[in-house]
Amino acid sequence: MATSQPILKADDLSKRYEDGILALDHLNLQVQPGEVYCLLGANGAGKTTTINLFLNFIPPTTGTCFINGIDVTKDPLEAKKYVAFVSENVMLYGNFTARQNLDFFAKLGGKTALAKNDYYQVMRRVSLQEKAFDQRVKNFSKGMRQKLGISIAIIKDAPAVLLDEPTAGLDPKAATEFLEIMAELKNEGKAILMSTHDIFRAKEIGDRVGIMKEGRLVMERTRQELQYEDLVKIYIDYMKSEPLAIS
Amino acid sequence: MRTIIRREFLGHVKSLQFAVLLVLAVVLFVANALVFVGSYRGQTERFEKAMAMKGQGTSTRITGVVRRPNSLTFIAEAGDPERPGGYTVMPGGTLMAESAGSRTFKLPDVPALDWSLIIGTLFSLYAVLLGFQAVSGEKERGTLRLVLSNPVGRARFLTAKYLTILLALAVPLAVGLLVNLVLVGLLVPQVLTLDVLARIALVVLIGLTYLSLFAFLSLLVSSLIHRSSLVLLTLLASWLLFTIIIPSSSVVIVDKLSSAANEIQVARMFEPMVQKEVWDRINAIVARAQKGEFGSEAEIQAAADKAFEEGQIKVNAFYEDFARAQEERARTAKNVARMSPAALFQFAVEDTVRTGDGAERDFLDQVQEYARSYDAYILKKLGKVVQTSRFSFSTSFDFQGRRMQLHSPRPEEYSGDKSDFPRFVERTATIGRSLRSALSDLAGLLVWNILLAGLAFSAFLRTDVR
Amino acid sequence: MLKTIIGREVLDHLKSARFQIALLITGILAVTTTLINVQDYAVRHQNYLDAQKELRSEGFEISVFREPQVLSVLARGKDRDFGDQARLSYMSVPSQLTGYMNVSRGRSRSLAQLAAIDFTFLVRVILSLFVVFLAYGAVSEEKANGTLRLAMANALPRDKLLLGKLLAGLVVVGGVLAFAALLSLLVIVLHPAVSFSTSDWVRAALILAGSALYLSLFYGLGLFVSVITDRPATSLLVLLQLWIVLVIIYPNLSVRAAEHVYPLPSEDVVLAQKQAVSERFQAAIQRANEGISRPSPTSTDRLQSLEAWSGEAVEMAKVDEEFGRRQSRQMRRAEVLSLLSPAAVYDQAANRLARTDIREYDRFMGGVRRLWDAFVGRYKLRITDPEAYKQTPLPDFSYRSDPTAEAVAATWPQWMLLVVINLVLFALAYTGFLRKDLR
Repeated sequence: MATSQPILKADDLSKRYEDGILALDHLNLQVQPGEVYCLLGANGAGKTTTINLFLNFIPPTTGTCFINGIDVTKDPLEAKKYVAFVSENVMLYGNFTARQNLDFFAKLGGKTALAKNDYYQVMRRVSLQEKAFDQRVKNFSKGMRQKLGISIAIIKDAPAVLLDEPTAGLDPKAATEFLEIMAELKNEGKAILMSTHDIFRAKEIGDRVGIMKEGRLVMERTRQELQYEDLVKIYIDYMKSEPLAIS
Repeated sequence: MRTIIRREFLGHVKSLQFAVLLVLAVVLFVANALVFVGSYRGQTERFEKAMAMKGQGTSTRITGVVRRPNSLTFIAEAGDPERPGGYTVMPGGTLMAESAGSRTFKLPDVPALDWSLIIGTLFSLYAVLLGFQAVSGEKERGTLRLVLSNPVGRARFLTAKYLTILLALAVPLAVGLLVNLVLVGLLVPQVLTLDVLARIALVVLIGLTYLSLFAFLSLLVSSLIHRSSLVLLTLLASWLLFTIIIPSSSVVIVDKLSSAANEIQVARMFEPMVQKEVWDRINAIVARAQKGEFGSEAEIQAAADKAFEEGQIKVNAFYEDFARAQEERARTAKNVARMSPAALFQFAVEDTVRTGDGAERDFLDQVQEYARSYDAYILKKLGKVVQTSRFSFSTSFDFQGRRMQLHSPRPEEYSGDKSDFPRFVERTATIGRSLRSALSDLAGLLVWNILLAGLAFSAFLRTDVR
Repeated sequence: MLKTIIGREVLDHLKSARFQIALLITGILAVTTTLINVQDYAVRHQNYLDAQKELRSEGFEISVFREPQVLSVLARGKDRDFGDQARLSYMSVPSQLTGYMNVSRGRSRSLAQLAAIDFTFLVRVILSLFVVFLAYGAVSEEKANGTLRLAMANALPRDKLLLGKLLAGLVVVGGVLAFAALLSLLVIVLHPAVSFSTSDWVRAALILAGSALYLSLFYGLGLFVSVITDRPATSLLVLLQLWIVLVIIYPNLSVRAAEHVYPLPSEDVVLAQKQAVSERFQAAIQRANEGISRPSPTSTDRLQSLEAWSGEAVEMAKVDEEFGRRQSRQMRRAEVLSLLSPAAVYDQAANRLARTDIREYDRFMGGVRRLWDAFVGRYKLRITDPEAYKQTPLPDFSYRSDPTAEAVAATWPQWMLLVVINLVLFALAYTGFLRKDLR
């Protein structure tokens, strides 16, 4: 891959919560532009904690997160200009339409001069039904809300995209559409960090895959390496056994 | 930040709470205007009639003072109908309160439907209903993370939330006030003078300060507790505590806290005094008269007069002490109630529109001043002031074969030129003075605001937004 | 099946944070408000006893003192506001009670307008609010979190499910009420100055039963709204605003409306009528005064004076009584207007049972009038037959206080109204649920 600066970088990141639990143990991670990094792991392995640290929702115990070279704890507002976030199962603002929600988040993200058509275009891109564009979000299905969430990230046009369990609960058709969009974004040069359970999709879209177990990144493989190894088998083995050193 | 304010405000406007508040505000402000117009017209009529009767009197035995109806009772009634509508003034500084005679005591005791109730109770409740989901709701919906993943500082976010709550309250308030003032202006236009409008502006400011602290409180609790239903429960409990429980309890627990005598304690001292002291002295004089210690009727009369006069002075003193004790207890009750910002609001508004205990004391002071000038006039014209009180004493006994009447001396009527008879002119407090008396309560509201704002911001800055 | 549902539902409530918070607050308030009211009653009662001992006067004027109602510790009503003493002389029939200092009741004006905080307030405002919080999610929350569909995926008829929720809710509400009542009654029983007679206990029990009826009405309302809305947040907000209108706004508006739709004759009219009476009797009173102020008034003179004055007093009293009747009529109309609010209905019935309402006051004043008649009669005797006068004792004051049976009969319609509203709400919730889209 390109040897330019990584857009997302976690440097020796650790997080110990007030109740003593070590959620993240010296994580080192980089995502280059034009790269999709899939973070796999069981619930509680530390995937969501990683994302929360990148977004400065919690302070790290040790280590640093960088977005586009900016330390997120030192200058969070500046750092957030360069990252778009897609959360799992967001209810959004139910009394507003899809377009109004999109408009609101676009403006928050700094895109204040967009027209109605720009919004429609993005929503079409994610395959959201036309008639839903001006309907109130509270009646949307899970898949529709997911698509809207992605369009919110797309319209921000940030160099990094963080996704928390994006395909959870999606039907195969919607999941495939989602992967197509991820591929498009990757080709546009965005650095994408995605936490997921979905081994199969991770194998399909991920340029690199990392497995987290009990706060540690226990394994990392590139796409080429995975052509020769069975990711499923590796993953299940890791879930069962003791953590091994990163190879 | 403008983006957040816009979306948030639109969100409020689309909510059920906003619509209901708008409707309720209009209904209540209209009712307030209509009720006020009816009673104000009646009061003015009564005042003019009373002025015609008493205001023109020139007797040196008894005169009267009438209180001009306060045109701002629709803002804060503060028990105005139960205040004396005037005083009967008799020589020697005797004042007897006259009732204003409007409200019946048989109707259920409901708080007066004035602005201070509408704003103090209803709007503060809606501040809670509009604000309780500010942080907890966004967290439950998942939009908090989404918003904060953008370059939006937490302080800005919270400020935007605060401003929109106030805006969402200000719109129904403005509509209600407009409708109210239009009605009042159409039906009793003489009420809306410049002075009145200035006071109204002040009241609105005080009201917004009060509502603002509830907004901060909602933001604080919403940041601390992450389940909206619990937030609402906590806020409603606080609302109940502030607007109803603390003020009500203050009246009842004042017995424990005030050292001023209560009514029965004064009565127990007063009754025996009146029954025994004065009569004992009179009876002693009668006995001496019958024993022949006095030479003439005139001497007996003089001795009796002296006894009666001192008795009258004592009676007046007792009633004055009693009134002062009542005031003291009322003051203590108010001070206890001041723990609640709702009471601070109520008292600040009362002072601004000159109703309530302060105004009553003001008027009484002026009446007492007038009574002194009345006495001075009598002294000038008649040479002496006969002490009177609300009681008159009289008895009769047989003296030297005749029936002799002894009674408390009666004031004389001056029959000369009365063109310089002192007239009572009621002075009403200027805005400056009203504001000065409201200042401490307003300051209290500001302190609450600062405190709650500080707590809300520090809570939100620390809130776990995951 | 039903028992399972009820069991889970009840446990769910008991474990919820909002129930525990509500219970805590209820407990604290039940104890503090009852304590405050009991101590207030104790003071007022002691004042009454002291007044009886020390302030009684005999002779030209006699005084009558009003004993505070013991049940005012539960339902304060207007007991605190009525005044404590009436002074009678043959010159005037008292139309109103005054304070011990013989001036009309002075109270801190601005704070005086506040609602009484007593047990019925606790039920009417605070517990009804908590019931709303317990009920709003009964159906809508289950729908939102998916457990409703799960439950209905069993061989469970819809009506059983709703019945289960209803009964569970009533159990929990009843429990909270019982808890509050127990604490209140404990305070009452332990306080030395308060003692209930048997009929007082019966009345208190009736007030308690009425409270249960009132709270179950709010549970039914909550259940109904929860059935017809889809999300718990909506249910809660709709219910809260209904509560605001029913408990806070409507009772206030209905009283204002009654005041202005059924106005009383203005004070001037009453004064004019009294002036007319005064003029009618002027001549007689003047003659009587002349007679009395003669060196040695005869008993005929004194009798004439008595009859002139007391005659005038009776006529004046008629004016006052007519006005008082109008006041009572206005009040009754206000009561009718406020029937749309269950809070007002409950309040009226509870005050009637506690003898702290206007009707008890009217009875008392009736007794005062009868005493006055007897007093004047005896005074007459003093003039006409001094010997017999010395034999006749001072007339005793008594009035027929509201017997319990009569109070029950009188409050029956109000309780029935609450029952009917309860049934209607349950029926609406029931039919709504049977037709509800459960997806």
